[in-house]
Amino acid sequence: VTADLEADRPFDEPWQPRVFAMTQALLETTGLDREEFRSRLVMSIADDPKRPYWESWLEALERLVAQTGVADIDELARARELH
Amino acid sequence: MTPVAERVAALERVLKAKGLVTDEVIDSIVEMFSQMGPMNGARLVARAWVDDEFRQRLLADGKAAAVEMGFAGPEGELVVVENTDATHNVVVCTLCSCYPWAVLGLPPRWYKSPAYRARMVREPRTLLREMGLDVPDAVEVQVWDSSAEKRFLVLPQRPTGTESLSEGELAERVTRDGMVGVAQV
Repeated sequence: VTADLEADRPFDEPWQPRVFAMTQALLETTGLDREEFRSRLVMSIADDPKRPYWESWLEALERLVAQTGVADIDELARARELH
Repeated sequence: MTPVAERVAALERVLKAKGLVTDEVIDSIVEMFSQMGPMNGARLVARAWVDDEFRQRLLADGKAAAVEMGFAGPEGELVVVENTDATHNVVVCTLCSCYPWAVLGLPPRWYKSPAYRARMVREPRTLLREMGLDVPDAVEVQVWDSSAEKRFLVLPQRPTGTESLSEGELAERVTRDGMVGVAQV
């Protein structure tokens, strides 16, 4: 459609489409309202406007997971330490 | 792996262990989104230019008209706003990055930038001019702020001198930037 499409692709690194797809999958399987995620993305961006966009997205997804009881913070921390 | 990639991998392990996501589901979602892009929106616009009844349906209920063309997405309402000689429309999401995925795909980097999100509301004419679009003073600029439930697509004006083009040729003329409202078609 436009010549600059390649230059501003939505993703820069392989983890970014995964975190995006994980979010969609989680909303689907848990039936959580999309606004539950969107409101956390808004907060995450507002908390640190200079942070790269997909890192804010990841932060919002982690908060959604922890705050809605999908998993607890310790569980996430342990999953990081185990590897 | 970078620290942030490790965080993603850790989260993925937790969600997989709980059976909430699988590789198959993640791959199918990535694949589904790779099929969404501005070529879909361009087909809606070209159809609206050649078929006035479709144009009216598109303006009345964008989501239904998009689904009619086979472009369904997980988002809520799609509102199509039409450029005229009197009004130029432009779309922004001031708080995050809401965008009509089914018809435009995922947003480009500039759409998500703090500068675009703040300035398109505060000084749209100046920003549009910097982006290469000079809107005449006589034309009103209407800025639409997106939300999770309500996303916008601009229906650009059909360029003059395109009377002989087919619907398919017209669709090739339509750009993503034109459908966000930061360029003319």
